[in-house]
Amino acid sequence: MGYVAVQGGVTAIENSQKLNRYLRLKGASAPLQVSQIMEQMGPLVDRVMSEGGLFSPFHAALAVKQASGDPTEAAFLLRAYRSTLRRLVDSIPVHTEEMRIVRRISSAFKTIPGGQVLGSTSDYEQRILDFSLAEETTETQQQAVTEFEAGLEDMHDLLEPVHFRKVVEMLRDQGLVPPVPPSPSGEPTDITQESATFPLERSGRLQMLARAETGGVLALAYSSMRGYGSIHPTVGELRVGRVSVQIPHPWRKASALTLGSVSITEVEIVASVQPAEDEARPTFTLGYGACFGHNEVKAISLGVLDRAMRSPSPHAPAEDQEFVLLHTDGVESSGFCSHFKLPHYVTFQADLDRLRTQRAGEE
Amino acid sequence: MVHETAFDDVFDSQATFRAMLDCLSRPGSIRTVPALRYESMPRGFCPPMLSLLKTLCDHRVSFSIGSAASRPDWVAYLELNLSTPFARVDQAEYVVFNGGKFDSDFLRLNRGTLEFPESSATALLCVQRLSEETQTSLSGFALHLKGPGVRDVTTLSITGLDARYLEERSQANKFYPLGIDVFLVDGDGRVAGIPRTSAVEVC
Amino acid sequence: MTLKDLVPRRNGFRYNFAFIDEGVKKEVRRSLLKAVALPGHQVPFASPELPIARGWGTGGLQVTMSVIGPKDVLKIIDQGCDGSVNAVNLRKLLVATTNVRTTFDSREATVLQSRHRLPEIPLRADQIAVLQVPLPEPLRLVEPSEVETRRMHSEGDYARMWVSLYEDVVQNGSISLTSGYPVRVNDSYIMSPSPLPRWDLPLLHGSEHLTLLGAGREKRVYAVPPHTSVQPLEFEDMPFTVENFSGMTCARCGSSGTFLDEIYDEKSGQASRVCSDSGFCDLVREGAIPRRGRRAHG
Repeated sequence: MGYVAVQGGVTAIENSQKLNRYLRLKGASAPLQVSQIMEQMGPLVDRVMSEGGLFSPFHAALAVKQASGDPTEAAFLLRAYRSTLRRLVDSIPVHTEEMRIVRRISSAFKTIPGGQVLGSTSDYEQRILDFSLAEETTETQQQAVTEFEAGLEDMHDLLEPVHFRKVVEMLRDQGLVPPVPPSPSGEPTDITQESATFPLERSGRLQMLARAETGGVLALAYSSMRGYGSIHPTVGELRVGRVSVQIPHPWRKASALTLGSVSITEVEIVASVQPAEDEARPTFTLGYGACFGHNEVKAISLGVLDRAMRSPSPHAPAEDQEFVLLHTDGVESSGFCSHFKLPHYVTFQADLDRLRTQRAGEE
Repeated sequence: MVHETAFDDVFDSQATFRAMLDCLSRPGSIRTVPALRYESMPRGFCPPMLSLLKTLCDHRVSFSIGSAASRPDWVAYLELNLSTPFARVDQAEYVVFNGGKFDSDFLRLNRGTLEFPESSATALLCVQRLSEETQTSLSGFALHLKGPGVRDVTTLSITGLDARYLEERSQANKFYPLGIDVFLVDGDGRVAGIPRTSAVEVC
Repeated sequence: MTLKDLVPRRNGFRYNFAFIDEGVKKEVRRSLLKAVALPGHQVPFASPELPIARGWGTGGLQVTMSVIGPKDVLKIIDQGCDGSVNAVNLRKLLVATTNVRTTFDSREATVLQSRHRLPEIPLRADQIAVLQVPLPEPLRLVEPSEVETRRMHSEGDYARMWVSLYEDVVQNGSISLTSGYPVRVNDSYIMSPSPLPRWDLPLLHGSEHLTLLGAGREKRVYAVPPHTSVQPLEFEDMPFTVENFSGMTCARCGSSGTFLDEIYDEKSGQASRVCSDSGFCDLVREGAIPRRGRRAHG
């Protein structure tokens, strides 16, 4: 090895790392298994995948374990891991109408074609602490699982997957939302391979939103909902489920190869009426949000912000593209926030010198 | 025409880049890139030029060649060896020229924009010989360079460069920050760099 | 497939030389060459994530990782000190992935990565300085929008910056900017020199060495070539001055012409001054170089 360790700094870091490990392991409880985190902490794993920008429940759960549950730290671990992976190919665009739904709701209409599917949600749970959870055993676990499965209907006859048409398409048929604009020419921006410059075109904005930090986008979307440049949103449709990931077939032209599937949450917000331009009749405007995993608060916030950032006359913070996109990346914001803990004594010395000089000048 | 394997993507890239960085930072100084044996170089193509291109190019940028229509073998060779798309001369980031004869495609190079001056093209010119000595032989000429990277003035001697490239370079760089940056390379792997900030005078 | 199949078989990673992959290096290298051709102009680059947190030197690190070769000799400092915890951490990552020789003697380094200082001994032509930058945009002082500051640079429209400095003088009697003092490079772009103290700015002007600056989180690189003018913004009747250490000497080596840290003894609480450049201070104490009596450059 070529270097001489500066003993003080190296020892401090090593001791800190040992202390971290000790604090995580010193309790009487058995070590958490990655599979336990994957299976029993789904929303946390989903949030980490979403903010890490990588769909892999195993790696996200591992990051959660390594971070002792800190979601921002875990997202950072996952992002850094993602940077080391080779990018092989880009997938074919996913058609979310073909999503295999586990949940699908619309606030815009009481009933919708295909029906509202409540699915698994904590929305209607009474938030009362359940102390029985402190006494779960493998027996109570097994019993609960067996009871539930026994109550399921036999679905063997259902061979075709059910696809649900988008509520927004229904509105589009009636001319109430604008037609789908033609795709811009060229490839969409890839924010991980090029630096974003502002004004950023929409595919870049949606990507940045997709891996933005949940609390950050929620705060800014909330500001919009409360009146800072309000867009009067209605959830046209929220759907959660799995979509297939396909790539162009390596040698069979015009064919696709299915690699697997990912779970996503997708929200289409129907927002304020747009005043008529030229001869166009007024329509609703749309906001779109999508992210990895089951993250409803985030996806709704993203839809609201997508719409807000396209405001024709931006004045509120949530409408300012640079403000929204540059301040909601959790890895960047937490990193910069934390960096203030680094030594700044030279820059502070410069400030001390300046202040003392100014005070001396006044005497 | 084969896919060349002599260039080490890690270490030859790094050494070539350092040479380019040094000579662009110090216009007029000469650095040498690693000497590599390429198997199937097309006629007239300067071997070290491939090293420069392999260091710079990937799928996110594009390359071109002056008078490409008359050099389909160069185009094919570089497409095979660079994994970089071939583009029109006025759009490509990296454009190769035979320095011995002025090519009017040089006039069409992208000079960037005021907001993104770095989006301009880099011209890579193949010459016969670069030297830091004052030219004494009859062929070739010497240049004086001034500007960032140069203490007072430096002298660079070049054989096999059509001086019109230098005139047109100066013209293209009149409205800084718009402009073109130039690398010169000879058959022995000597490289010199002339950024748009250099003031060049032919002696 | 089981979970076990997802766990890599080898113990730990096999890193690429200097950690980042060749695609990332290429993009940084292309950006650096353009940066050198446009002194002081911020060139955007992709800046993917590293295992080091954003704001902790990822920009400087990517520049070093793209520049460094197996024969280089590396020095890394933070606030002028090799032993600072963050410098130690960055050095660990670089050495683990390059096996390069390292040094605390700035004269031996071929690549010197630094946060917030330049070494007291001016760098030579065969040395490259890589500076870590938190906020690359000097005009952020007067304008929050990236779109607008980009326009201001493109048109050389620096009026609002000058007005801001003027108002500062009117209000405070002098320009109260301290570290990261804005400079004009090559009589062209206004640039942030990274949070260097004013003390170090003369070292950038007409230097023998190349200076590269990297801001990872903000995704910009820029450069100051050797022999290039770097002028701190000043008014004719209010010239730029550096920090005032007159009457003070380093308690360790006795030098009085260096940037001095104010330190408070852990046990006695007593205040004293020591050289911020720990490597320089050590060389003086070893007798390798004479103590400095006054500022070497002006």
